[in-house]
Amino acid sequence: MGSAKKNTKKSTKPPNKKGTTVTTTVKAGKKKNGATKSKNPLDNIPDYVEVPNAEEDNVDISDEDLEFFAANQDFGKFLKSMDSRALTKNDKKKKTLATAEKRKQRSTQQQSIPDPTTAELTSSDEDDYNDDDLEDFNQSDLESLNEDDLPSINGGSDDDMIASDDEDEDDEEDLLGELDDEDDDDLMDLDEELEKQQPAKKKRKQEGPNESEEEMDYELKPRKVAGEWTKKDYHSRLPIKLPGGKVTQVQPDFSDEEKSDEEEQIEQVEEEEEEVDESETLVPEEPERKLTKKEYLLSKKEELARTASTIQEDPEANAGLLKKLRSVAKDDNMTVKKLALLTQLAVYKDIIPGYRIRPLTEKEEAVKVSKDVKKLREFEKTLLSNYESYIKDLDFILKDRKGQQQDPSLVLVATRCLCELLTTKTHFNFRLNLMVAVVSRMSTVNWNEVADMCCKAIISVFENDESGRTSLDAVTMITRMIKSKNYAVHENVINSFLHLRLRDELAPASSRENDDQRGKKRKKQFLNKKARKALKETKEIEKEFKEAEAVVSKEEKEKTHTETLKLLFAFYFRVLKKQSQSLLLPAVLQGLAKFAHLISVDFFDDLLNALKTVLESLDHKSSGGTAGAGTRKRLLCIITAFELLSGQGEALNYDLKSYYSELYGILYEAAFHYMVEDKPSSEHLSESEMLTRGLELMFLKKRQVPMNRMAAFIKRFSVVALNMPSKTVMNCLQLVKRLINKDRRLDALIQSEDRAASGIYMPYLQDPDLCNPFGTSLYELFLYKDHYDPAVRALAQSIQQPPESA
Amino acid sequence: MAKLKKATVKFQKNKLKNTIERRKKHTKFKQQVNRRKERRSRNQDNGKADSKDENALEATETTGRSIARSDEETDMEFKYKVNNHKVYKKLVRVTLKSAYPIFSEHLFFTKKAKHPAKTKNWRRLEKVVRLFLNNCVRFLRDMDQDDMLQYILTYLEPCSLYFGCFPKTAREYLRVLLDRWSDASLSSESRARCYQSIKQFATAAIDVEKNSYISHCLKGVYLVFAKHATKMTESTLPMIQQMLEEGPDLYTLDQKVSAQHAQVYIHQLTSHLKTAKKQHTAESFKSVYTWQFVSCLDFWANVIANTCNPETGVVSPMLTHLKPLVDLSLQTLRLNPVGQFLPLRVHIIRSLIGIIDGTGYYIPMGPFIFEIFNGDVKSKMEQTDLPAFEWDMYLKTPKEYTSTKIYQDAKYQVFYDSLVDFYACLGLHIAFPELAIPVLSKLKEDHKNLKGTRFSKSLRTLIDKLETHKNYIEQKRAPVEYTSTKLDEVNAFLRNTDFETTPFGNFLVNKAKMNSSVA
Repeated sequence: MGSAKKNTKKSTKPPNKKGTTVTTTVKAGKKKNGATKSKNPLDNIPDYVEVPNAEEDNVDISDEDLEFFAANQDFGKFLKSMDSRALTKNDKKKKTLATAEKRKQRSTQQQSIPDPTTAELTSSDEDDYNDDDLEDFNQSDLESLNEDDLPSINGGSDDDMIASDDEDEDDEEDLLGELDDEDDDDLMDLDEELEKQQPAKKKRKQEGPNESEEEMDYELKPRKVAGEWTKKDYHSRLPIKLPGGKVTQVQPDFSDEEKSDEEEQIEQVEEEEEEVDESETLVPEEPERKLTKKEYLLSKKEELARTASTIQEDPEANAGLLKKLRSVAKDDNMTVKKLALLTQLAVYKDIIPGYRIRPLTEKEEAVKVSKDVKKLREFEKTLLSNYESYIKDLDFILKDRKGQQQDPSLVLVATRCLCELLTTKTHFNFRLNLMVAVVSRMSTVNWNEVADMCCKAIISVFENDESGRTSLDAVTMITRMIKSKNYAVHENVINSFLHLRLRDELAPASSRENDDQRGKKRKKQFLNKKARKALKETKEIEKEFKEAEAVVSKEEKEKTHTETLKLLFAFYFRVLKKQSQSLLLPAVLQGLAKFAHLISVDFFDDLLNALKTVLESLDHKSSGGTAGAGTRKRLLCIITAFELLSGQGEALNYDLKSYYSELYGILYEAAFHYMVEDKPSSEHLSESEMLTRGLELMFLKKRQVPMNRMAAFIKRFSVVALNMPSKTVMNCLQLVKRLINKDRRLDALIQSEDRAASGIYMPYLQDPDLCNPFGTSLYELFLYKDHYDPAVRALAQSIQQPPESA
Repeated sequence: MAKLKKATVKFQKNKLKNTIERRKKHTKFKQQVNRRKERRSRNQDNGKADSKDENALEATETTGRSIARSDEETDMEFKYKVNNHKVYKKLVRVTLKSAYPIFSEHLFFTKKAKHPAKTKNWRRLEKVVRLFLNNCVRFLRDMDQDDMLQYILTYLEPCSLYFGCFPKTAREYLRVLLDRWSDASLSSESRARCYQSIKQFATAAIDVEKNSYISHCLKGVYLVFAKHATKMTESTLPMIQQMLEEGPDLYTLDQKVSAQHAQVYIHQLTSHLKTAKKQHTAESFKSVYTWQFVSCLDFWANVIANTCNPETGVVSPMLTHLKPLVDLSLQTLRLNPVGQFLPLRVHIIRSLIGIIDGTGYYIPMGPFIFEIFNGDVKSKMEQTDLPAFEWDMYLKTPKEYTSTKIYQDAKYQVFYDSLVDFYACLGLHIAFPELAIPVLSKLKEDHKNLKGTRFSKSLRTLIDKLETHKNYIEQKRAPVEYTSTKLDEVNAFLRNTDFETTPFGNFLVNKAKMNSSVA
């Protein structure tokens, strides 16, 4: 990582030479030549050939690169140090407020890294250098922290992602100084005042522990005191800051602010609610501070609102303020923390552009660009780096639960932020990071609010995914997560797959191809040469248009969908074969049934056998007026098997007798299940619905079923439905009616004179083929004609006396 | 007896004391009016006046006076204690007895005038009638002697139609009647008498716009019932049961109006249940699992059972409410099927079986009946000396009963009875064998589980009887032709057979005999 980082830094350097950004100066000085070797291959690939560049020679001669770069670097270093000095000197703020800045930086550094040495800095030059040093340190510290915290991000992301991550980090590093300048200026006066008033505070801060999260408790007290002071000062200082000449960056014009932010207000209403809770719970601990705490909150809120509205007014100019928001989120007060997180969410949702930001190549950076473009690039860089650290912060909050007693509501807020970012900004960078964070939240067996939120986010991602790419990533991650959890996850996770857009978009290939071909042939017949040429042209134009509109091509989509499907089925099959006792089985069966038409015929044999073994392994218990879990699973197995066969499998011949007898038995067991229509939960089908579905698949979708078997099922279902609620009865009678209409031979059941068979009906026999249903008639219809539900009465009547014959 | 009367008189004195002053003035005025009226009528009827008229007017005079006395009596109580009481009583009786004959004599209906207010002599008698009715209402309200109350009601009944002319009095009358009807301190005969009067009032009293008071009565009866059905104790049980019988009877009078009321109130119950279901908390269940709710369900079940009798051959407008009510009941059954609330379910099951019995419509009750007794006999039961479990008295099984032998016996008994009742209702149906198929297998399974317990024997008999009956029906229906074009024969299947002659019916008769001989 380290070397890669340096490489990229170097690559950004040459443009700096011309573009002259203030901030990167000092870093460049630290770089070593040794790292350049690995950098050359990157340079050799000319991304933009047309760009005339001083380094053009390097591209051609890789051998000379080393030397050239060594020289170049020195040159660059020299230039940069010059630049930086000149710039810092030219900077009005720094000039005028040199001493103040020094103090300010001291204090900010203390906040981030309480290093006693920084406080003793005196000269402004040194200050600059040290500042950067510290920032480097800070940054690398952060990075290492982040790396520790988020191993899964890099692990889970593909190579592109890693590369971009790295570069983003570097960008961030470069930008940090700049950001600090801006941010710190805001805080400057404040801190100055602070130091005057409370010299003791400085000491305390210096002695304070490192910023590592474990020591939050210890830090709690002094920080709070500090917060109070800050707040007071803040209030008194507010009007002074305005005319203080902080250019146009900060515009704490209250009237503007109020106008600009209606959405902000809405959010604040929510936030305020939370805050009230918070303050109430905190009151008993420190009653004397009650008031001040409220005021502190209020001030923080105002600060957040102001900053957020400033950013939203002109994101490009004020992107630097994002960091300020982030620093507020580090506050020890939970409420402030939450507020800051939510504010950032709102801000990012607002300012993130509708495209994905691609890291610039050196070539691009080397090109001289207009002011506007430059400004935009700066903005993008800042945005990216801040966004990334925001996501990392969020993830950190969620991961840190073991370390300290965390407020559950904070976790909730953080999850909400992640989920909303994932659903609204799917196209943007760091999607994978977000996804990893969200997916890993879903990995619990005990379903909770956080997991539910994440699951819903994933579902909405599935549903809104046009390209299929995001779905593929998510499915990959989820399946990997489940595997790593050893299949001990909640079934809701699996159920989220049901929302994938595969079902409609990935229609069976054969049928669609046929359509296409037929269409093409017909068209070709009527075209002459000219017309064909014209068509070709228009097609090309259309293609370009499509590219411009970012419409995902069908092939591309199909490819990703197929990939997703492969993963999905691999997962399903694995569960079915190896984890038949797992809690996930129902969800898996449901998924298989849903995507059954997409499964290749080659797998059918295997799959049916697997289903049969599962079917046989399940128990028959029932409880509390409904079928037990085992019976539900058995029903699902049957439905899945027949779903499989209902599409492409129609042509195939399998021995399905065992499935039929199984359902015949289940039907009888359901006779006294008085809760037969109650769903165990809103997503699940009720027992009665499953029975009806199974029977429909068995008899209405299949072409040939032995007559006796059909009659046996009709008879048994009508007998059993006598004891069932009226909705099931309606389903039953409708099925009977359709079957009788389908096959007139079944009339024998309602007309005794047609009765051909002799012998008696054996209602207790568990074999549908042998029970001789034609030995009796459907006398149940008379009871249904006396049913209390008029709809049932009418239906029974219509079966018994079909309208056309009457 | 004399003592008792004395006490009553004293009680009345207290009650009337407040009104004495007002009443005195009132009475004096009335007497004047009466006298004036008398004079006037004498002048008017001078020519035609016959002896009957003379008597009638005298009687009206007495009426007025008697009522006056009833008020004054308390004043003079000290002077003529016993004597006065007797006179008072006699006066009341005479007045009541003679009131209707006299009224009807004078306020005769012609073809034109079918309403008392339009008859010839109405203007003359209006005030007397009002006086009389008002005083009767007052009497009814304050009376707490069963015999006197019944006496008044009996003789007031024919006069109900005159209430129609005085809306205010009529409302007061209805309120008093409903009060008395729901008064647990009165004897059941008095309450029945009250109900008769309500019924008479509902049909007879017609106001000037020709609207009867039936919808007021229906509403009043149901609301009073619902008000009193909030708790069930030893003392209120007979009263509520009586109300459950009589109230629905009133709904048979005018089924169109009844249907409107039923719609409103059943809808109300349904929305109660819906909210409870939506919230799905123990608290919300509590709002539904109350005596009031269950009793109201019972009430409407009785109403429907009474009105939708298939034997009348007329389709009642109440039939439209059969489905909502049954659905409502079934949903209540399923709402929270925990063992604790078994008595509640038993209540509902019984009322639903009542509907099946009354209307002949089929409601799938089997699963719910089997749910009562789920064969948990194996677990050890405590022997206690608690009194036998009364299903009527509980909605929720008290804790001390839950694991006792007595309770289990009660459970088995109620299961057995409900099962028998349910299948007896459908015993003559052509589809009985189909109905019996799953039941028999389920019972056999239970029997296997219950082998060796005290329930085994009776269960075995039940299985045997059901099986014989099933075979009997199968035998009977085998020759019956079943074609879509000729359903008459099947529809008439066993229509004229007496249930008691069938195997299952016979068994039930014997069982009833056994029970009565034991009791």
